[in-house]
Amino acid sequence: MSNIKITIDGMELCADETKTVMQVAEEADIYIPHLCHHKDLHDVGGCRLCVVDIQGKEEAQTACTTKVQPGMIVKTKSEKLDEMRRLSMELMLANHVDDCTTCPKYLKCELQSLIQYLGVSTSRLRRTLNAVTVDTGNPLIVRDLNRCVACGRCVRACRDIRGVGILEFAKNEEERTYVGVKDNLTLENANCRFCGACVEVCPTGALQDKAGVFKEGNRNDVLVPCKNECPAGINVPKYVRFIKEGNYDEAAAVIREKAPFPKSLGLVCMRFCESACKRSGLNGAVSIRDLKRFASEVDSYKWKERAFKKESTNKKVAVIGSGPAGLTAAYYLAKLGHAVDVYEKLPVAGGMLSAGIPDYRLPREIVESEIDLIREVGVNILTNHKVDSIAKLKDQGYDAVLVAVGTDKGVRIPIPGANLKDVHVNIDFLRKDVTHLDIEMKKTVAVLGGGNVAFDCARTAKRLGSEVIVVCLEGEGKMTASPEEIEEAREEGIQIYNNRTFVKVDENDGKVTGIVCREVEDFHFDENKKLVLNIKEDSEHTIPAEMIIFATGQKADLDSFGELELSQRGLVSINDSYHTNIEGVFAVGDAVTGTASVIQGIAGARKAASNIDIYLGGDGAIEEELSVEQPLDPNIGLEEGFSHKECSHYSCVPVEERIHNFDLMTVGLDQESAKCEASRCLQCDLRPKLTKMKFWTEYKVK
Amino acid sequence: MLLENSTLCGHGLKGHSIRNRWNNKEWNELACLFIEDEKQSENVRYLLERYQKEICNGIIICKKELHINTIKIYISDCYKEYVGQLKEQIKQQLGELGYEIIVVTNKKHFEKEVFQELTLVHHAETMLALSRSLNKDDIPHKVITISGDVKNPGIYEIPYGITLRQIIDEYGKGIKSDKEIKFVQVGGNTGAVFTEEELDTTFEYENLMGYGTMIETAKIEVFPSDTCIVQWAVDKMLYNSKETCGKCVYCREGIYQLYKIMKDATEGKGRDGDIELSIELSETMKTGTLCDFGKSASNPLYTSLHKFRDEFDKHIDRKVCATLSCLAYANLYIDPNACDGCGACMDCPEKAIKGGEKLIHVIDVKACEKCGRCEAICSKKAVKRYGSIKPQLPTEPVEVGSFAAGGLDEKKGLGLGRRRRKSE
Repeated sequence: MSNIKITIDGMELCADETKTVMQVAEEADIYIPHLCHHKDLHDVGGCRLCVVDIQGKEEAQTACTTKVQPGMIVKTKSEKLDEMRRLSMELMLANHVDDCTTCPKYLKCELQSLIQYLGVSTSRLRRTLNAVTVDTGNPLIVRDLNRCVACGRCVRACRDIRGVGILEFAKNEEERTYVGVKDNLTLENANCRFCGACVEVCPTGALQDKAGVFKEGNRNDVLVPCKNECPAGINVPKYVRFIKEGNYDEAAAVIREKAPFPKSLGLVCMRFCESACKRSGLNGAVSIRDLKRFASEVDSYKWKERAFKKESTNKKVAVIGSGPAGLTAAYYLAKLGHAVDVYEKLPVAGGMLSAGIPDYRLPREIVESEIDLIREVGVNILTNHKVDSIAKLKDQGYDAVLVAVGTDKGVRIPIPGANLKDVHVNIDFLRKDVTHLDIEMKKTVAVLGGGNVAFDCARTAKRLGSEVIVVCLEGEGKMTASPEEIEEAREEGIQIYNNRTFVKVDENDGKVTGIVCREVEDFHFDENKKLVLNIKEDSEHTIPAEMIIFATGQKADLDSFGELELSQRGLVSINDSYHTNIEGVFAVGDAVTGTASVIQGIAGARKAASNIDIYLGGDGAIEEELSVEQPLDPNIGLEEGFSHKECSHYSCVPVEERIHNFDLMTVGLDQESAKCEASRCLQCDLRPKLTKMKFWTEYKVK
Repeated sequence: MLLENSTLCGHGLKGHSIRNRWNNKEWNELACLFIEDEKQSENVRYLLERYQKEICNGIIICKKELHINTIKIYISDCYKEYVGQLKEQIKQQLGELGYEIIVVTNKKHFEKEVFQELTLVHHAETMLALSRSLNKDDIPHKVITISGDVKNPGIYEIPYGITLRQIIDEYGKGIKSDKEIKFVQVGGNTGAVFTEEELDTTFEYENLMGYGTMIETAKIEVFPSDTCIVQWAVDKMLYNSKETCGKCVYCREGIYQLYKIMKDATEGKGRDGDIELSIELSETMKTGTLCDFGKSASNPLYTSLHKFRDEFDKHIDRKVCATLSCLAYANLYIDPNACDGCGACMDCPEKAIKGGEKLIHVIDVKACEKCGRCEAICSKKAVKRYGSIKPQLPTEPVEVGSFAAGGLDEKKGLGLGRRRRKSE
């Protein structure tokens, strides 16, 4: 590495002898037109746009392949050079779709920007494009060879950066050159890793992400959909990769960085990550939740050494409600040095995690073990403590109060018979053991509703020995419960009646005998969010049942907090800092958002905790690095059968063994299947590491 | 050193001395090539049949001079029948160890493999020349293929320094047809065109390179006066466009673009400025492409554009093809004096030929699509072409032998036409 002096366009520059003229120019922010050159790829000098004059050389040289030499005098601009560049562009464009405006890359295209820079028209050349059909055969990448200029960037990215090498220059029947997939296979069959590097480096519209694969937004974020879609922003690719490498402690630590309930999430998370997973269209999303479960199960808590715990601030915070939101906020507030008391009206802490979600899905001991870690950082949880008044609480010397009471008041639809003895609501039913509510089970139970809670009720009733049916308004496939919940319920012998609206509870002498329904053809919500039903004529019928459970939604129980300003939906109103209308009182979780998921509660609570810390005079910094830095190897290599690699996920205990008890009914992945599943990851986080090429307008000297 | 002052020029070194090449680097491997594009010539076969021993001697010299231990011999798979023999020969002269014979099926892979940093690459013919050069009285020779319109096509060893005319006359025994030589292409498919007047050029590296050709592909192809230079250039450009590796734009798109432009010229679709555009393209390609193939690929067109400019102009501006090769500028007719009424041409896809048993057939010009099927099928060669002057023909089929001769002097008619235009 020795520094030499060279001159580019009259500018004297210090350069490293190993560099090319192009590299030195780029460092000095001098633009030399280029197309096949890409910062991350070795140069081939194919596009001939970067030709420059070098004093002493008769012929123009390509800047990208010419190494600098001491005293070199380079001229990047002249009419002759521009003529050469224009001719090269004209030749490329003669073999390129004529119309830019129909291209998805319009205004984001390097080729188009070069047309503008060089002022090129194609009129004097013969059109040489022999149109071919656009390859839309796979769910992720669209290949439009009519827009390809054969710069070979994708070929080099696939081969040299990724070590996959399935793209190559090939010749068609007329022996014209094109960039093809090895042996003319589909990308899937050619063992494409779908890493997207080829799309990322393509300077034209020839390689594109299929519409809808990525959302709009900051590119570096949206390119990693699992992480981006996770409300808490858990670095999914990172922990999946750690699992693949067998580094489970680090994997667990990655999850911990954003969420204090990894085990619970591993069992019940709504999996926004998996819905967004790029692999889902290919042959099923990576079973991210199961990987999370695996990592958290084998976690040896090494991350504790790296966790932060600040000095005491002598500030006191009261949290009302010990659900995932309340406890998450409490966890971070305690770590930030505040004294935190959590008030829980029930005898157990955990909110819906322990008193709501049935044990066969999420055993109470698991939640308890996670809460222990929260207690460990100093959170004081007071169970059996119902808070009646915020004012009284504040009088006890709390500097801040966080309302995280959730939505635990079941909704009874006002139909005749709704208040009969054997008619119950979801949450009361689910937590009857915790609250010692005496509910006498009946032989036949009808659960009204189509969400996850409805299925929790139904499957709980099933385990208590009843015959169970689920009746809901939504049609088949429109139910909000997760597909596997529905599937597993069916396996357990639970019948589902779709498209029903409820007329009344049928009774005989005060005893429930069934639910009277009508069939619904379709329904929608009007502009006032009022439900509008289109009922089938003469469709009234009775579905027999001796017990009815309403599982048609929950509300927040805010009766004790009359001074809080509420939204139209009866939820607590907050500003951007999670502050309610009362000074020093914050709110978070379902009580603010309406019934949502555990991970959304956690994500909100992290932000609320940060805001409360700022309110209390802290810096609000809750981010922590619990896992080690992970070196990313861009060379992912070829793997036979990669795109067809089958996915493995949790398995269920056989129906006969599970419907008579409340034992956890799922079995997670073992080490081998977890590693295998993790290896299915498309490693979307590698793509943002590729250098984003600058347009000519972004250079200082152009 | 034995070859301190050798001025031997290597095959593939653009006329540079192999001594310079040798001194360039600390070579650790020698690759000797018996590689050839079989579509072009069979010079390598010639070497394999005659000079295996001498070539091996050359390899030995090279090995000793440069202290090279590893020798790789690459041979095109079209010559694989010689592998056994070659192996035996090498074994006799070099012993059992230190060499490898590789049969090349894929030229692209071969190129990637052979051109390594410290591999000295020589053609077998260079090895032959090397072993011969030890003889003080040796006159350097070159193996060349003579083809095209000559009486005695074949592979010859010719001494450097004689003229192209001598090569054609003495080795090729002159033109075969009764026509005159229109031009000669020297150097295979990317070679330059030499007109009749230029045949006194001597066969030497520097000399021929000045004309933009290289003689690595030592092929001389002779074309007679009825060759349409435009049509010929179209074919060459199409052929060369298929040979491009595709990496650089000028070569990949440029040659094809030249093909398209020239094809249009043969089809009546030529435009003003096409010649200037073709020259600009060719000249940019000559300096701008990545490799030597790209730099020379436009040679056939570029040189003929300069030497037969008039003919190109006529195709593009006047839509005239003097040799009637371009059917866009000619019509087909049936010579009433040659047609024997056999009916073979009657199976016309356009039903454009009228006739009957023992009747002279007549082509309906309006219906004719000029597919050329009748021309190919006629055993009497009675289907002919005319340009701007239509010969006297029967309008309806008449009995064979009944159409009055005379007034059918096609040559005269065309000649008149051409002269008239020139004087305009």
